[in-house]
Amino acid sequence: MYRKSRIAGFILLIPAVILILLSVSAIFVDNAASPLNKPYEAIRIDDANRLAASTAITDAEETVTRASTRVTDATDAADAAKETTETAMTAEDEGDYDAETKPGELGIAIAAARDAGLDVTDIYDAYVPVVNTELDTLLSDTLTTVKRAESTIEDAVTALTKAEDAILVLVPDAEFEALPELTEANVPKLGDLKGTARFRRRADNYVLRCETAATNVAAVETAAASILDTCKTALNDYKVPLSATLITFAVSRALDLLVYGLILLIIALALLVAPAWLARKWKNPMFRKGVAFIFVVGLLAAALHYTSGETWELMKTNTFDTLYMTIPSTFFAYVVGLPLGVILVITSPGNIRPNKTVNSVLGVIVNFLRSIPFLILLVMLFNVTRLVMGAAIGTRAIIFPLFVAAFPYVARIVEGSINEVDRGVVEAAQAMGSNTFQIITKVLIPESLPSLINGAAICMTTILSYTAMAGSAGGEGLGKVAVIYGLNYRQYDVMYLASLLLVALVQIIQIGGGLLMRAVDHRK
Amino acid sequence: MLKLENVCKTFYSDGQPFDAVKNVSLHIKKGEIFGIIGLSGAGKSTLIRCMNRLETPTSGDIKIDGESVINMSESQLRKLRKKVTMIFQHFNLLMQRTVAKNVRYPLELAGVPKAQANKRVMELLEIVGLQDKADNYPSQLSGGQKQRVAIARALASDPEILLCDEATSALDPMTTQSILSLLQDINRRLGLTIVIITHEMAVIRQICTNVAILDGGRVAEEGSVDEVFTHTRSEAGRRLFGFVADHAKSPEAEAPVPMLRIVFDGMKINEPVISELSLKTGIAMNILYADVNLINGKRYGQMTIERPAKAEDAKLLIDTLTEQGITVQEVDA
Repeated sequence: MYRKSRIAGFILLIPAVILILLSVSAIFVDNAASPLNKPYEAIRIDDANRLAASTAITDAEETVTRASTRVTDATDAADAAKETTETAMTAEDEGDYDAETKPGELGIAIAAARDAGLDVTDIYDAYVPVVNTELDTLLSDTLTTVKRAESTIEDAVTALTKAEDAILVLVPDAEFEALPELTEANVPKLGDLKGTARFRRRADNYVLRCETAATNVAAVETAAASILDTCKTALNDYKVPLSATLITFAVSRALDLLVYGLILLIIALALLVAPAWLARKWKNPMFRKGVAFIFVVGLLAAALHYTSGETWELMKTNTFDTLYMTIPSTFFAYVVGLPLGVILVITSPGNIRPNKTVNSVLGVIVNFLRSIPFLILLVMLFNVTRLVMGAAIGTRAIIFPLFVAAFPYVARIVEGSINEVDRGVVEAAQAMGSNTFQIITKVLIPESLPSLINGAAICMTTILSYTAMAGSAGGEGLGKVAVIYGLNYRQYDVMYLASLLLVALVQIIQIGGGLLMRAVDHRK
Repeated sequence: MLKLENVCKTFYSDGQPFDAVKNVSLHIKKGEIFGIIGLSGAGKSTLIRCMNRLETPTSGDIKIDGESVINMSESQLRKLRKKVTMIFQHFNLLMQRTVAKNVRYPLELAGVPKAQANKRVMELLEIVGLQDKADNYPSQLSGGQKQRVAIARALASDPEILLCDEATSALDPMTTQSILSLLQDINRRLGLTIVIITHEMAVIRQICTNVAILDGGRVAEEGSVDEVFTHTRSEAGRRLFGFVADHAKSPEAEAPVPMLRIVFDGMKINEPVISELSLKTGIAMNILYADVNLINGKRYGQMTIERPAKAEDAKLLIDTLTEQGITVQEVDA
């Protein structure tokens, strides 16, 4: 009999596991809008920035090296041009012309002919264009080299600007003293010169500009070295951001880890523990119900995950946002509310640690916070929220006011559960020599565990209903979708769909909580 | 061993003082089973709670092995409570823990290593005869079994004194018998001093060596069980034993014959004790005096019959009644 149902259980489990695996892999690998994308987006942007900065620095370094080479080339070419021009000019002045094919030899031949009393005018006229062509070639080579040097300088400047920008993104408050030097390192534009008479001027000009380019490059090199140093320092310092953003960073990472940690934990439990338990506990009807529940929820989640279309995409994102707000705020509300509830119980008159002052002060705080409607609390807390979460509005920021609204509620619910524990049992624990802490951890909490779980389900559904007001502070979620589409767009189908999903979430929490409660309840 | 000197406890409700315990002085010796009996509101529970300082006496002193518990610090008290353990009327087991884990609780508090603790738990469960229930939860047990678990738990810290607060009051007579036998057995085997408070005379009679009768917060009478039982001096004692009649009017003073006094202390009313006795033994009985009251469907009181002339007849009567758990005392004229 049990054997049969155990086999049935495994058959049931296999498709469930496959579905969960598929959903999980889809969530974690394929989908750009997957939940893991969101929290690590910031990390990825930071990483991209750091990579961009490193690349930009490398580029800048390379470009500056190239610029130096080019400038040396340019200087060399300019020197050559200068020399040739000077030789040509001297030759022209002295009538020392080179031979026809080689300007130098023609010049010598012309000079010899002149010495011999010959008329060299025709030969000279023929010689000039040859010299001009020669000079033109030399000068255009120089020009090319200069232009290349200039463009390399521009490259260097661009690369350095990129490096600078990348660093500015990382460390907005970093200062770059080298910046003004860079802007001064302007490169003069080239003029266009014609005619042989201006060879010298052109040559001089080119030479001058080559020298200017070289100077500029030297300036760029200095500026670049300075910027590169700053960049490198900034990049190293970036490993430990010192500004207030650190808190925001830590809080958001903690929230993300919590949400995804819980999801991963549930998956790990489902995959690793469930089969082992199945084999052992299948005959327990509570356990069968639990497996069926997980199966149905998994099926629903998978169904939601594999739907497509604009409306369903909206539903998916916002279901996730709703849970993203509910789960961490419930968790933190319990981190504070559970001890608070316990303290409210044990400090009450006639209990194990009666303390009228503590009890009434905490009671007043709890009552005060509980009496402020959530929407008003949300607005009241704007500044505190900004301080704690780094922003006053948005889905993530809402978690804080939700937590503040929820923990007093949790404290009261916990107080009720703990009060259910039989006084006699506490007395017995005292009679066995337990201290207060042992009574709390070994008696009060374990003995009221089923009731605490039930209370947690109630608290979670309450917090879920609070998230509907997230829209008022820039948050997302199913509640906001329902309000916006129902009120503003009059798209009632979307409103009903969002509400239906909210109802489904509440049902899941309530039924799951009920099952868990009965599974851990040994009192009857 | 355990000495109470002029212990008083006053409670205040709405500013009105109420003296729950007045000037109680008791001396409980090592290894004895000491009973404290009284009707509800007599201050028994308050008194026993003073012994392990769950209540702090308003005045007076309580000494255990000569050491006063009155001015003990919290940590000294926790140590004391490992030496002076307690069982309760409603067992007060941890419902979310299995039987074994309930018994292990005091060992956890003492920081005993797990393997060693588990071994000890099994030994303790063996003492109370519940080894096979180790993994059950208290809700799956009967009342008697629960009290056995509570006893095992109370024994876990190797106590010197066991306080029983109405430990059998929520149990039926059969189960009460077995729990009392267990307590007696523990007392003998482990030399444990046991203090029992109860409102049931049967409990005192079955296992206690000494008894104190508490009435209105005072000790009305104290002494060995036999003595207090046969020569009840106080009004409270007579009320408890069901002797409502004035001692002066009792037949012992008038009838100059040997008599047997049959004491009813909590028998069910549908047991025809005397008729059965007569039919079984074939002895005709002459009832001289009877005063029996019904309280909560149980019989309390006494009946005095003339002792049969033949010694063996008298012995037969006494034996038959004793077998049924009824107290018989011979009263000489």
